[in-house]
Amino acid sequence: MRKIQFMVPVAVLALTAFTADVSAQTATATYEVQGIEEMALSGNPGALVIASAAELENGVTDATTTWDVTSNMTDTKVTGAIDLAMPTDVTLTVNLAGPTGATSNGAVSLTTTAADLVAGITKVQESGLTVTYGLNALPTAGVVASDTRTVTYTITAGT
Amino acid sequence: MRGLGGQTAGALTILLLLQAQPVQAQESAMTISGDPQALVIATAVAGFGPDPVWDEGTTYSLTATATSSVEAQLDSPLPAGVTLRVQLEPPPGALGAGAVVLSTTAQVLVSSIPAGSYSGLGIQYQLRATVQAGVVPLSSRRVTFTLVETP
Repeated sequence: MRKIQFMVPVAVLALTAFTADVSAQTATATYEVQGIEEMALSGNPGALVIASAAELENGVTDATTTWDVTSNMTDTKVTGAIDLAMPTDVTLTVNLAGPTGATSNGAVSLTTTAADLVAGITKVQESGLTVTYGLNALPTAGVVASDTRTVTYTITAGT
Repeated sequence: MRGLGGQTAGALTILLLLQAQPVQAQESAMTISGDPQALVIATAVAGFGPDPVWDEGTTYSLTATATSSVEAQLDSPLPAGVTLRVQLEPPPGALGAGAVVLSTTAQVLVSSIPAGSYSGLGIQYQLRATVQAGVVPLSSRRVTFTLVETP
């Protein structure tokens, strides 16, 4: 069987839709992103009450609140302090869960001097991070009447 | 020889005053009213990204002699995590593309603009940044708007 091949000339017409720039104008857009560090707490913890020998030995905790954070900076940290000193042999602690990449210092005893709770917060936005309050007392503290303390959290600018 | 009125030539002189007024051919053109205010991101809600900022203080006008579109592009890229969007109010009968993220490649902002003249159309600039963008010092970019006749 013999095959015959034909060369078929094909004319390809490229139909190109053309456009024409007829006028150009420019505007200068000036922009800036400033350092931002924001944190928020979901609310107050429940009352921390030590009412049994086991609670006296182990302490009590509350983990019903959360905190949110946004920072576009590097090495932002959160500190915490209370407005008044705790009674002798009574300790109030707080443990902030750290956002991704940051370091939580765990359960930190609060005093009237700001203590680092979370460090190394870097370019992050997270919400619903657990806040755990703890109350511990030694037997020597005796009976302590119901009282409150205000915990002030401060988010400090990084670099 | 006789004139138009039948009088004998030489007795009547007709003066023809010819005044040539310039005839301007209308050309396609686009103008913008000026530069936007500085776009400064400085706030956020905890747990969320930085708040975007807007400027709606400028307008554009254009005359199109044929169906046209408007494109825009930046002179150089923005830092990582920072976006500049521009939204043009479309003329009647045209198609607006909404808030378009600008880059160094021309993006169509409005298309199918019918021939005609339009003025006072709004321009919205929008700056957004992620937390990963970090702190970005005051900088500027030139936005080039181009009116393009489309087939």
